[in-house]
Amino acid sequence: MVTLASSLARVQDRVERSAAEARHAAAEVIRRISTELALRRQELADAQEALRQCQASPYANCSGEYARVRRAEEAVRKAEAALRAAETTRNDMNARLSARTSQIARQVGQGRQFLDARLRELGEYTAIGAGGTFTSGTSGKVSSAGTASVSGGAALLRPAGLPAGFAMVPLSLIDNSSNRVTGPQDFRKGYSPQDLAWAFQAFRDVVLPGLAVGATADTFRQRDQSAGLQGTHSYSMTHSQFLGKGDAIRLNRQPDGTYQIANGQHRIWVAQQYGFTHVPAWIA
Amino acid sequence: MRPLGNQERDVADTRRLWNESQQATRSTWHDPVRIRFDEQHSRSLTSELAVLAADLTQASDAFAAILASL
Repeated sequence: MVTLASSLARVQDRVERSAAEARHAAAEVIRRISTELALRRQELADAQEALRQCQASPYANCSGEYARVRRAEEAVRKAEAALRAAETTRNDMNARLSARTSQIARQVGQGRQFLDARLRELGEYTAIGAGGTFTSGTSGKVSSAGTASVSGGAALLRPAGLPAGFAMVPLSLIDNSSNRVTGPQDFRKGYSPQDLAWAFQAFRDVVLPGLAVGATADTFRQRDQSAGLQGTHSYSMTHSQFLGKGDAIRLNRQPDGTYQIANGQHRIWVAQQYGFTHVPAWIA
Repeated sequence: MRPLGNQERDVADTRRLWNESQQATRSTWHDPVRIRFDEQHSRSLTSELAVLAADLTQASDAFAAILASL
């Protein structure tokens, strides 16, 4: 994102430089034509003078001088027409360049504002680029790191965008003593532990950050379509299985501050096996 | 002769660099954010760069024709 923001600045700089050089090149074209016009006007004046001298001589044949004057007049007319056309082209080009560079500057400014805002949000993650650590706090979000290992304290986290009633619950607070899932042999529902591990990572790296910036179920469906994802390895299913009614992990808070599993034993087992320290859960 | 040939190439080069920088960053940040940036900003900027390149080409062709008519 920092690279992109830097690229935006370079784009604007290069565009402005190109526009300035184009204006300079157009001015050079005008200068060349003006110089040529001056030379041709001088040639016309010389030809006219030669004709006058010829006509002053009795019995002289001035057809050559006449022809020279006509050629010079035509050359001057062409240069004058070229100068008018070049000035019109230059004026039109300058107007277009001004409009384009202004528009590009506006686009770059808006793009940078967008990126700056996202960078500020990411800056709230203490672990940006440092291995995927959840952070606590009212605006806590998730890092962009791609590893499955997550660390954190024994406190519920409520990242921005997570629906009301949900929290990221530390595994250390979940009472796993009655979990009937004890190994891969207990996965017979059409998904594997690897599928659920993929979903945990997708939830952390794509779904949760997406929710923080206003993504909806439709957003994730569109992303799946463009990326060719479907089924257990899709963002839309990840979104629905972790946050959908009936599918979400549900935990019951107990008097001692720990949580009893009401739904999601397979996912909690997978989270433990793959080193995730928090799971998204509906708290009853 | 194309009087603005260098500037056309500069803008084309700028478009290429911009596209490359987008591609380079696509794998390093979150998809929903990238989608929003692409839809709201990057696409507009890419379009504006294309129009600018077209404007320069048009002006360059016109200048070249004018010089040829001299």
